[in-house]
Amino acid sequence: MVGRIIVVLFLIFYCGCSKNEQKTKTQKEQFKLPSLLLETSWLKENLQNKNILILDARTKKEYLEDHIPGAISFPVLELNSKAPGEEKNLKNILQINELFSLKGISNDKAIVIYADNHMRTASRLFWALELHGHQNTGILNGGFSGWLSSSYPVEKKENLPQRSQFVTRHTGSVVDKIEVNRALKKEDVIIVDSRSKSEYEGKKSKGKRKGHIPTAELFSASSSFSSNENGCFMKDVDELKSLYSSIDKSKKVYLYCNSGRSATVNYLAMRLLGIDAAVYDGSWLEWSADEKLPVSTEVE
Amino acid sequence: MMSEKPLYQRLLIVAFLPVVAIFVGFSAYFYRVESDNLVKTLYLEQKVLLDSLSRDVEELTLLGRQTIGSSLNERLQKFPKVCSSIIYTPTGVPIFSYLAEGETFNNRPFASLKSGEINDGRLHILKEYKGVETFAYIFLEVDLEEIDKQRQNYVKILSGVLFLFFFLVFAIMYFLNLQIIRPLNKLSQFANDYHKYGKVSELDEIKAGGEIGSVVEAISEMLGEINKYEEEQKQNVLSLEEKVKERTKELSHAKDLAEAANQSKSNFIANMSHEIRTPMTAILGFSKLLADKDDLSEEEIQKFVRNINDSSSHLMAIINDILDLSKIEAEKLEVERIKTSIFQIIHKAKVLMDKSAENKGIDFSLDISYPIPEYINSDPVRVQQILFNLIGNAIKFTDEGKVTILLSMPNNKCLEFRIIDTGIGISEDKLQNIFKPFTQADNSISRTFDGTGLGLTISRKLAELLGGDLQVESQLNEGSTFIFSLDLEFEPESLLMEAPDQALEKQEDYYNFDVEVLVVEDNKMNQMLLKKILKRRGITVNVVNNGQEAVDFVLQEKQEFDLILMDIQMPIMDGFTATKMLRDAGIDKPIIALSANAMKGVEGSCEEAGFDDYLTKPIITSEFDKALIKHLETNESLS
Repeated sequence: MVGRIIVVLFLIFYCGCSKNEQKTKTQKEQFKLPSLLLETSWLKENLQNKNILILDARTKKEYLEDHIPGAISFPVLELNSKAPGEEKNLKNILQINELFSLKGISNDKAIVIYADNHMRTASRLFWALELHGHQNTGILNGGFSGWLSSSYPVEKKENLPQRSQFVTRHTGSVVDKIEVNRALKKEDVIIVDSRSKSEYEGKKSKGKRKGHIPTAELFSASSSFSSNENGCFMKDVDELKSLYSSIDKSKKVYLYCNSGRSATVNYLAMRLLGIDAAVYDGSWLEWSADEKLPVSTEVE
Repeated sequence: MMSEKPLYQRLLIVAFLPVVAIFVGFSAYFYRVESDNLVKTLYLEQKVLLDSLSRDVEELTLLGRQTIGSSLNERLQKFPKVCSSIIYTPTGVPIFSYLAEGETFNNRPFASLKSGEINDGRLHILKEYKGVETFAYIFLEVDLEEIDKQRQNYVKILSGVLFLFFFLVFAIMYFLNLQIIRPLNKLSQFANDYHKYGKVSELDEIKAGGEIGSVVEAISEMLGEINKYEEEQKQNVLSLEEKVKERTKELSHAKDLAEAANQSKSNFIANMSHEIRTPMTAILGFSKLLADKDDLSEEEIQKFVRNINDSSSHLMAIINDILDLSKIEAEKLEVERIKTSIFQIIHKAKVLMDKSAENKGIDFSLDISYPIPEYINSDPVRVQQILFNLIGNAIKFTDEGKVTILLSMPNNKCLEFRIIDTGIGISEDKLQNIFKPFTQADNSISRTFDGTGLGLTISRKLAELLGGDLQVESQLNEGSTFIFSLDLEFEPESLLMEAPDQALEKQEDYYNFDVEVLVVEDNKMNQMLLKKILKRRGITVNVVNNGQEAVDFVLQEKQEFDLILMDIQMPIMDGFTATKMLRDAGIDKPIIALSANAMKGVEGSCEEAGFDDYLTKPIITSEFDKALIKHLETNESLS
């Protein structure tokens, strides 16, 4: 009898205490891309996959000639701001948000980007998507040329995107000149120059001054990929590893080029190597134009 | 219902359960309030932090610079326990999100968001940013895991305390059980056993201290008392039964005695009527014969008169015995203490009894062992009565052989008469009964031997009254010895070493008085008797027949006299009235009353009436002499 009373008391006690004990996490299993770089044969097999949104980063004209079936046109230049003096820079967060929503990009859809010839077209869109928090984005290795060389079907019909609601989840993998300038004194940040060797050495320049950002190391974007008639391919990971062997993985990497497009190729390379990287979008054009910022021509 | 349960359960219900219930209730309340407080604190904390975020949010919504993203991220990262955050435009369009590591984006419709709501263990906070007008909303999802941990800590602490409390309660219960309840149960078990089967277990086995201990002790003592009491009761019952038996025995004995006494009395009355009737018959018969005295010779007349006299004496003896006995029974018999001559009494007895012994043909001797006091201080009449009775009995119950009187002083404070006979004797079983009233050794004896059966009873009583004793030693058919002893006080010089011859001679002499005595008596026989007695003593006698004549004789005729002997019961005028009249007339000469009324009380009346003395009829000459000497000598000395 006493025992029963005690049991009842404890039941009452625990009912009062443990109301919110149990959590039930019921999450839909999202479709995940197998890797950041996708083979044309894989995409061919997954053309009908409704979880995949294929973006054509080439110009609208190229898109209209022919494109991978089902692909949406997203010319990479649409990412750039229309504000005067910032034409080479990324749109602001709100604008990108709106743009992505317009293109039917949503956080729960996998995105495959393809372009042609130069890797930087696709990689810039890739970077922009990742910057705004899209975590399921991949690049078609070989690009449209690679697709064509495999004689996979194409189409001409323009696919109009269905508006979605994209919500930015900013990753912060973009830096401005203030941050780069600050990073000059930071030990844990490596600045990487993605331009050509001659530009780095100050022999020629697209900006107002010559040389490079002090402390920056030269890793030309062109060395991260190879291009031929069968398409444009990122170098495989082993090659990239040896290429970037001098970079300490525990440090953060700030990437720049002339206008912030080539740097995104190296961003992709960093991502493939698992190195934390951010892109200085203003790049050399902005840096060299600001007289207050230091420039170096020293070559190690 | 409550009272039927065992003590420890009642204690638990009455004392501990309310406390436990209050404790649990308080704990639950405390827990609720405290966890609410935690949430509230967190909510307020987050709101304050969100306020500080205002400028960044404004910049985002106005300019949306790419760099603001990392700035916002950094700031939101610093918010404690924020899982996710979404910034909405004033119209409710989500534009910016922050997700903590491991979190996935959850697109919630703006309209469904509620500030302060807790969902899936997360606190939802919605804040509106306002400048001139609302520019943004921010929604925060805060993990309450930390709070849950704190809550769980509370639960742990409270349960710990509760368990400790229960442990304490049970420890107390165990202690109570050990110290109070178990001894109580044992005690009640003991009481039950005791009640059902008698003592089964020992009380000492119940070990307890304090109040219970003293209860056990008290019960133990009480049981001891009860046992003692029961033993006593048993003893009492036994002794009571014995007593009842004893009493019953005594009662039946008393009943037997009473019946025997009653029987004796009946026998006695029968005897008495016979005894009285016998002499009466003789008297009546002879007096009838004397009435026709013309036919009788002088010799026959003499014989008849003698017979009548004998019978009358016998009758008188019987009546005297009865009177004596009645006095003894009423304890009103009194004895005198006067100078008494032993020799006179013994001699008288010898003289009187000699004849009887001679008639029966047995020897009768007197044996005196000296020294013997000449006078003792006692009652001569009673002593003589006893001796006469004893000697008479001895002669009566002895047919052959002898009767001896032994007089001696076994010590100097005791005089002893032994009357020894060789008669029929008394059987041992009857020996003690002979002194009891209305008894003779054998009822049939009274038929053979005359007697009232009162003689020995009276004698023993008298002996005791005189300060002596009367005992008997006897053997059936061989004889009896009656021992009559008198405890005495006497003057040593009065001891005689030999028989005083004179004393024996003097006995026959009469006192000589030269006086005149007036006799007032209605009975002619008594008149003659008194005349003869008085004249023998040289006294001049005048006789009158009643009180009136006496008064006339003294007051009117003025005759000379020295003393009056006055009968009390007389016709015309009785003795009392006459004496009163004489005394009233100033006559101071001695007047002595004569009365047959030998009952107690008469003496007092006589004194009241003015009598100087009192004599009973028939006249005992010794007493008569005493009285005469007493009153005439004093008178003489006066004249």
